[in-house]
Amino acid sequence: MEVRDLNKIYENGYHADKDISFSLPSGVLVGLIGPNGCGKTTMMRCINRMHEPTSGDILIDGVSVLGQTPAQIARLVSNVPAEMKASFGLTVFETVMLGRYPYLQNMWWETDEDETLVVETLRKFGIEHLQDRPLNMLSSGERQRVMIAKAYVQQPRLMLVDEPTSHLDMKYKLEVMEYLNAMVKKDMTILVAEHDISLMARYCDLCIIMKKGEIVAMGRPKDVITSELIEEVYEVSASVGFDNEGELYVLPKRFRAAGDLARQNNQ
Amino acid sequence: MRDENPVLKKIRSALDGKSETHIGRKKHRSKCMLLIGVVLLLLMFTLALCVGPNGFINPVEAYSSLFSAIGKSGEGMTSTEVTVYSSRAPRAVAAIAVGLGLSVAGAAYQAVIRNPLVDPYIMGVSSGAGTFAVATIAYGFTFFGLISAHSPYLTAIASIIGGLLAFFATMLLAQRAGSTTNAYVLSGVVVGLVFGAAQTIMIIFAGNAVSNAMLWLFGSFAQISRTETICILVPSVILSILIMTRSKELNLILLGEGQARQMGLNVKRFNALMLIFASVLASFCVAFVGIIGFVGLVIPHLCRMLFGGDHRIILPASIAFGGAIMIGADLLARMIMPGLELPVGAITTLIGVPVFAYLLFMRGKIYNG
Repeated sequence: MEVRDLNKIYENGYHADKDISFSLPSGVLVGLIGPNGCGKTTMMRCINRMHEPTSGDILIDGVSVLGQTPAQIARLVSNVPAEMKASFGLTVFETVMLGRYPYLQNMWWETDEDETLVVETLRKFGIEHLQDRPLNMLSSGERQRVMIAKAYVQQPRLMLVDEPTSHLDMKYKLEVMEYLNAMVKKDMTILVAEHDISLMARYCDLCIIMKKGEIVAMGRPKDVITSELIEEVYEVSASVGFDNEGELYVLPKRFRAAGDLARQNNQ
Repeated sequence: MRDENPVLKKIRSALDGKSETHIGRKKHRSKCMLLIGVVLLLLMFTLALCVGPNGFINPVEAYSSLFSAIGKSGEGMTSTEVTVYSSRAPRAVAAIAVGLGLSVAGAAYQAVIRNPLVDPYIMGVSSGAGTFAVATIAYGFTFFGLISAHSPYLTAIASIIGGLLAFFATMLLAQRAGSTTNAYVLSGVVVGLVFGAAQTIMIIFAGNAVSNAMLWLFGSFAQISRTETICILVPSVILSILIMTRSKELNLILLGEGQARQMGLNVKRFNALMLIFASVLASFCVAFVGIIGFVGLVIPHLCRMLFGGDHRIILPASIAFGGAIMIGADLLARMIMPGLELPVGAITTLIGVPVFAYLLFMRGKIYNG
């Protein structure tokens, strides 16, 4: 997958993505990291053509997605939203089966092959027992897993995952990342936009760091994530270190002076 | 989980059959639903032919009279044939057409707008149709001479125009307000209120014509003719089939517009098409029989409770149940008080309100995001 000189300027003149270029190998888990409003979501929306890029190109397997129909793009790129809207009583199985929509030839029913793929995916993701439950009756973590499973049965070459752990507790965060990690395969790349840098460093093969619509660093997390980089991107001081198992962690420091001053004034 | 009502669970498991695959079970459910629907519609149609204020006619006699009258092309009929062929049969067919049309329109509105409380009434269509109908009935409004004042279809044409006008006003407002679910609902309510206010003012100054206008507004199959029945049946069936052919897309849109677009659906075009189909359908349904509330709201929910959330099953089920329940409501309207026919709209509202309250209290959680 390759992004070439991607620019996105909104109608109000806001330049969300500026000359973004990078290429990703197949079969990797990639973390997209950066502060709020840095252009992560806009870039992902340009990649799956939810937004029309102002200029530049996006290539998957050397073919530009810009000239493709929405149905063709849906077979190449799938998307897991940060938040799931109301589903009107659709069950987990029915929701995951909707991932096969871009492939449906039959006017009315899905094929046995579609069913086999969905059943295997539900089993693989450990949500087989939830298959007959309405999606709206699930917890946030379970719902997130269902949406990832739906994106998986879409059999894309690139899966875009937008802030998958934003509403989840520690256990579910790890679970979701484990699923994403287990899903990476030879012919599928996963791009995850996420705020938890330590979590990204733990699971991702590569990370892309963005600031104000530009890429400021890209590479293996252990090579690129430093306290200097965090300070430059987020404008906060942070300790970047390695735990006993050699895993990288990022611990932001307090805005001590400002916080203490405010507290003194309050007292 | 409240959804796991043991009775509903038993019904669903009986409908699902013994297939080991989901698709197999859905196909079985679909076949059962078709069978139940056809049997139910036939039963209710037969009941509507046999029962009426003019007395009971046994089913064999009712059908033989119907076929004999059809054979005679309505010429030289006996009194029983007149009752069955000219009164009861057109009425029953019109009830089926209106019931299925309003139910399918309601199901389509609810899916596209992703709001369980939307129906033709909330979308302003019924109010627009009602206002224009009152204008023709009480004031002889002829669209500045465009339609003949003596045309038997003046009120019907006016109410179709009014319904569509209200729908387009709702769409325009909603799109200006960001095309969100809430924007559609609130725009529909605003447009409905505006037309409702105009309707009230017209009724106050209507003088002697007020009773005719009110009768139309309450909805009734009493005056329906065979030609009018065909005018409702044909668009109802065609538009319902057109909506049904997009059942998979109606399922997809439930995931939200972003997800549906990402899955390859042209969401803007699809939504516009479905809303236009549903509004034309609802407008035709109310045009000849007046406003009949709650059917478009309650029947799709009833079908969701019994058959699940898949529109490939809900829409055919809505057709069967909508038609059957509307015949039932019309029968009640005719028979509940001997010598007096109640407005069918009042009957559907009386049935619909408790069902609506049940949905609100017991099933609200299922529909929340």
